[in-house]
Formats: sequence, structure tokens, C-alpha cells
Amino acid sequence: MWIAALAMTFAFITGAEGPDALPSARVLQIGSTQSMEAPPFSFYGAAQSDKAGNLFFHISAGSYRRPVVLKLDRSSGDPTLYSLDDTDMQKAVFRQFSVTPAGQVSILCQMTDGKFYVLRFSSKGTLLEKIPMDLPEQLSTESFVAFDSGTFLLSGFYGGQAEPELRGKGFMALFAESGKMLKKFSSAESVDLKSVSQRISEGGATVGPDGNIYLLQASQVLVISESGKIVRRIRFQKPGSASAVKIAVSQNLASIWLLKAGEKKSVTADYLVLDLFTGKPFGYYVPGKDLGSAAIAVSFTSHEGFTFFDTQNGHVDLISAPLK
Amino acid sequence: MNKKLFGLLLGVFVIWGSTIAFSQCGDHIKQTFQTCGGHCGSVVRLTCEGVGSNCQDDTGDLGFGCCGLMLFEPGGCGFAGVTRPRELPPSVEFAAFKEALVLRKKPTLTGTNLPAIASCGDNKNAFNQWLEAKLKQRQVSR
Repeated sequence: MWIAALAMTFAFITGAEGPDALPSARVLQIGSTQSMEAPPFSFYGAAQSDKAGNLFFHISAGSYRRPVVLKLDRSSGDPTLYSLDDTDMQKAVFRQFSVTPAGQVSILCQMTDGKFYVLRFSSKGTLLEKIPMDLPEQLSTESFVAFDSGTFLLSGFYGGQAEPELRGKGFMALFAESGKMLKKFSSAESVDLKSVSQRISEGGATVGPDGNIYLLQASQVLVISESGKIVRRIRFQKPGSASAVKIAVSQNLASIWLLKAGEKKSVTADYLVLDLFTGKPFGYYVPGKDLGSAAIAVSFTSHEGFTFFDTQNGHVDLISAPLK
Repeated sequence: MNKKLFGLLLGVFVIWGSTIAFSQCGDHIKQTFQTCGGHCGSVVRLTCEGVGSNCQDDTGDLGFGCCGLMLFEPGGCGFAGVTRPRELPPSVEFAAFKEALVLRKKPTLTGTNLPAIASCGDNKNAFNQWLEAKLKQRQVSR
């Protein structure tokens, strides 16, 4: 008896207790719609937002590899494009992008010479600097997130072209604004290279209102301070077929996008919201039918709930679906 | 005898061809999605990443990061044409890329280096036209 009590106390202190089971699903319904002037466009992967609620998309400019990010101002609907000139564009392959809470855009690219660069842009979309990164060429990136200070964190894994002993091994490091590596973490998650490409790519990260990075892994969230200390681990459960692809943090809530590929290869998303005070599930949400057959949210806040992107009326509509 | 030999050679060729086709992207393959709104349906896209990956469908420069397999639930979006699952070329990605190239040749954004963005509605150039108007408006107000 006392051994069990001791074990539970130890688990609570170390945060090593298992994740809580998923709560029953609640259906998200349309709350309000904000019509934007922008004509329909498509984008790749998860959209991002800054603390003002502006939305940022890796917009489809012909190919996934093209490093083009579009900002839509949430109040005016005005666009800003973050991109390269034609010459650089031909040499760059998009890997990830990050938007800081203040709205600065950085794009992680790999160039034809195999080298990685972080492209940092002004608020008007002008390229400010091209920061060379000392990263292995065979790295497959999963998460890239920048602080307002310029420090950034990058995680991924070594691909099949890496040295045999590195293949599938995880990589996670914190970098200074200059691109210099400040800290390499030993706790990076490894992957099974045979199965990793069979599902939608997992991983995401954001800077929370407390100034920490919330790094999303397959079944846990790592909370990392700007100095590189892992301050917390929050484990979560998800349906077996789902990929955890994006995390958003607002006040005491963290929302995790769980994507599933359907039978017809459509993509659907459910949302697990965690209470950061307790580390336990706050709710599990599925989009209602009125949001469309393939509704994928573009942002989340605790007061507005989820915002969905739709184009069925010939322009972009942002549809809010509050939490219940 | 000749038939057997031919069959054997054909079998070997098919196996070899398949291996080549599916090893093009190797394990640099990355599965992401593309969407144009809940009612248009969304796209599951397998995208090769990384320098050194050969392009199966010419969507990128040869020997340089590429985009391959495209799987899709048909919907209302312009790019959402019928695709044949488990086949690489010709992918919708390639079609969209060609479309973007055509748009690129049109000097809609004279004097700028902005990329062409194909709209996923009926008018493929709608987004570019809107973007151009917005940017001109911003220049004038400055």
C-alpha cells in the first residue's frame, strides 16, 4: 500500500504519470464569420498567427518547395508577402517557417548547396538577413520556432542518407540570433524511418504567453525556456491514426491539432485542448458538418475558440467556432 | 522458351522500374497537406524533401527537392482535379506548377519579383490581381 502511495507521489513530482484518457468529443459549431477581401488561395501545412491574431500561411506558389509566406492582417485584411527574388527562389527549398509573438517572420530553407539558412524578414516583407546554419544536410526538420529576441529552436531527425549510426535519431538544438548553436538537447525524439513517411509529418512549436517554447512531439509537449531548460513535460493521448501537427497556446489552454488521413485520402482534424494548470485534457473537439467536410482550423485562442479558413463564397472567410 | 525468357526479363524490368520509381524520394519523403478551405476539400500531399532527391515529376530542378505523390478527395477547388492515387506523374502539383509558370510569364506585377500564386477558384489569376492592386494601393498611400 505504502509502496503504491510512494510511487504515485514520485510520479506526480516527476511528471511521469501516464497521460489522461481522451474525453468524449464535443462538436464545434459556427459562431461568427469574418469575410475577408482576399480571393481564394491554398496553403501547405498549418497556418500560424502572432499575438495580434494576424494569420500567416505557407501559400501555394506552384510548389511546396517555394519559400513564400503570406500574412493576412486580421483587422484590415491587407496582405504582406515574405519571399525571395527570382534568383534566390530557384536555389531555395522551403523547410519550415516561424512567426514570433510580435509577428516577425523567419523561413528555414535548404539551398542547392545543401546548406541551411534562416531567412529573417522585416514587417514589410523585406529580406533582412540570411543566416547560415551549421546543420547536417541529411536533417529532416520537424519544428522551427523563433523568440522575439531572435533566439530559435529547431528539431528534426537524421534521414536515411546520414551515417548509419545516426539514421532516425532525433536532433534538437537552440540557436542564437547569429545562427550559432547554443545548446544541443540529448532528449530529442528518434523516429522509425520506415514508418515516418507513411503518415502526415508530426511536430510543431510555438512561443507561449509565458515566454516559453511549447514544442509538440508525437505524444508529449515539452515546455522549454529561452535559456534552453526543459521546464515541463505534458503527456497526452491521441487516436492511434492521428498525427500531432500543430500547437497553439492561449492563456491557460494549449490546443493540439490532430490530423487524420481518411479513406479517400482527405485530411480531417480533431483538436485536443489541454489545461496547462493541471496538464489534463480540457476538451476534445471535432468540427461540425457546417464547417465543411475537411475543415482545418488556422488559429486558436481561449476567448475566440478555433478559427477556420473557408473559400466557398469566392473569397476567404474566417469562421470562429467557440469552445463549449 | 523465348516467351519464358521474355516474361522473366519483363518481370525483372518491372521490379527494377518500381524500385527506381519508389526510391526516388527515398526516406526524405514528407507527408504534409494542402488546403483551400473546408468546403473545397483538402489535399494530402507527399512531398519529397531535401537536396539530392530526384524529381519524379519534374516539379523541381533535377536532383533537387521535389514534390511527388498527390492524393486527393475531389472538391470544389480549381486545383482539385481527378488524380490517380498511388501514381506519381502527372501530379496535380505539376499541373499547378505549370499553371504558375504560365502566370509567371504574364507581367501582372511589373517591376516586382513577386511569385505568381494560382488562386484555387475559377479565376486562377484572381489572387495575383488582388495582390497587385493592394500593393499598388500601398505604394500610392506612401
